[in-house]
Amino acid sequence: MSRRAGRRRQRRRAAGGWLSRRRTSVAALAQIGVPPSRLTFRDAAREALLAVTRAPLRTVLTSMGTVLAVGTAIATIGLSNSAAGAVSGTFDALRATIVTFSNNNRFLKPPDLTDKAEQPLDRLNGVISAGLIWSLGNPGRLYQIGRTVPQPGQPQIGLPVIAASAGGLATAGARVYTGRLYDPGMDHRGDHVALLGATAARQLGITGVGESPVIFIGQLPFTVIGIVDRAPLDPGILLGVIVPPGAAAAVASSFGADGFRQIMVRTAPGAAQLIGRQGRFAIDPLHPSEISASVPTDPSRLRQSVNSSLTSLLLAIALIALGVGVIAIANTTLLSVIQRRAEIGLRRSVGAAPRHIAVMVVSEAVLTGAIGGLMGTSVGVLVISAVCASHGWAPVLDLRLLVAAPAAGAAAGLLAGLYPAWRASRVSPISALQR
Amino acid sequence: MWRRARGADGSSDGAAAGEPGCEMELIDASVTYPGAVPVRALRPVSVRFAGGEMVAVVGRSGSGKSTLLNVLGLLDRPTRGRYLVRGVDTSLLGESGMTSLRAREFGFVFQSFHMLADRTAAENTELGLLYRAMGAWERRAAACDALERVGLGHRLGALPGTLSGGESQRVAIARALAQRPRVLLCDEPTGNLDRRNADVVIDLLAGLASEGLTVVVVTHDTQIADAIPRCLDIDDGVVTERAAAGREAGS
Repeated sequence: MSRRAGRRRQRRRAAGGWLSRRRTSVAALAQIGVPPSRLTFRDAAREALLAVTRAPLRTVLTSMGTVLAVGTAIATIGLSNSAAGAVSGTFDALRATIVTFSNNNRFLKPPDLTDKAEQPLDRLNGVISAGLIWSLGNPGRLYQIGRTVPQPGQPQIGLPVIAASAGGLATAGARVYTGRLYDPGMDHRGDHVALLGATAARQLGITGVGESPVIFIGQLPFTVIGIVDRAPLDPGILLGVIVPPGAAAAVASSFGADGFRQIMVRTAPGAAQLIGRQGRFAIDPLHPSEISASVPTDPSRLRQSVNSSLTSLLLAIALIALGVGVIAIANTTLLSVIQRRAEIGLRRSVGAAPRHIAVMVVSEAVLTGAIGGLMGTSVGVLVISAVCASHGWAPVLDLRLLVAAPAAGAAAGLLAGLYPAWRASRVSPISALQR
Repeated sequence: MWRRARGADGSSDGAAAGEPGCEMELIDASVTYPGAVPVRALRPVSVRFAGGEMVAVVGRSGSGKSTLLNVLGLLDRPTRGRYLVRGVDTSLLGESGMTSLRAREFGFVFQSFHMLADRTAAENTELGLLYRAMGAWERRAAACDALERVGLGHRLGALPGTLSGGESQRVAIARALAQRPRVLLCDEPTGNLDRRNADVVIDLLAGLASEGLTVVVVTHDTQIADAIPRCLDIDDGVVTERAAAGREAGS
């Protein structure tokens, strides 16, 4: 009774008594010389490759979701990296390469920053140009400037006066649209020459230097030798009158105010931090602590903080895109399982166990996903290249992504193939073989 | 022990040509499909198939022919009764045991060929050998041999779309033969063929039977059935042995 009940239970629950039943099967079949069905990894891979390559259109259509997902992810990540690179490149060039040195103790000691300090700075590795540049008098002080000696009835205009050495002009990126910049010789001789900022020149009604116009700062005459219309690194000088330090001394003694002398240094990208530390010793080796350096924020730290928030956002986008890819593969794989019922039935009839069918479906899905990942990577790289080329950016892409993307595609395929594989393994050979 | 192992090897060594003895045996086997109104597709039947025998199963469509063939081919299990293959009670076998035994014991030939459209004749022929962990060259050689046997040695690389109906069915027979089965189960093998190709296929099957293969042919074509030595009639799930006396001496 109990044995019969046991047999019946065993028969009813094939899954429950799977192991014992399998052992009985193997033993019984070994007696008549029937070994169990086996599918080697190499054969499974070969079959998947055949299935995928013999129906290329189906493969391409199936993997299109992954292509789009991976392509979008790669393009988004690459473009944002390239854009960030381009932005920080501009940022570096304009801001992050400027270091300003000034004297801490200017109220206790006479100003000691001279253009002699430019030379040791110029010798430092990483310095592109260095020079004095400062506003005469307290910041915001205006000087009465006119076309003639001050006298009743003649118009005077209040303008700032900036002192800049030849090196300072170069550092500020000053360009004249007419005339010329002054040179170190004029500076050392104390020549009374001046440059006008474009705005100041308009206010004074001076449009050209062909007739060597003269302006007066107080009683002091200056010959205008050029009009500056561009100074991207210190645009403030466009508003005033620019004189060499040699002449500035005359102005200062005449007006009783020099100013807060500064040396502006333009460094190579990435060298600003280093120059900030070294420059003080170069300027005054005996009293470096009396020189203070104003250094821009470390750009790499800045970029990191920008990137970490960007990265998590992009990761979310990539994951969502990949989810869409998984659903796309799962959908088409499920459809193809339904379409290929007859093939599944045939394979079952010639010796494929249910697990072999599952392996077939999963390996095809994995391969399809990997191919989609590869194609998506290519598309993404093409998009990055095209956009970067049209914007003049340097394309930036982590090479590890090129490996990770196809792997992510394969993983998507694996995930997508699991349910269809389970369904396929449950296809009954009888129903599948019916015509 | 060594002796027994050798003996087992010897008996498993395919052919077993002309060996008298029981290949398959149904004992009171019946099939009932469950449902609101249970369908009794196969009434209890006891029948034996000897090795090297050629048997026709004849009946109208819906008579239970395919059910019988599915049970014989281990694609389905009898609801009641037992089915022995070379003495092994198949009710003891699990799904994978059924699969292994089916692959080694039976070759199938279907009415609609069931070719994989994107695989060549040779690739279709070696399909079953894939699940035996054989080397690729060994597999291909076995497939070529099988195609030679059915007279298609010159069409190894042909895609199914370029094969005629008769050729397709011969590739299907080659696919079954490549497995070196002991039994060939044919479900309306001539159903999609014209008379001339049907004759070629039946002659081929008869030749294989004479080489020691057990061949079971399900058909509704009485002309073909008459040419086969033993005939089982099936009607509404009831199987009856046709008396040999009432038959013309065929072939």
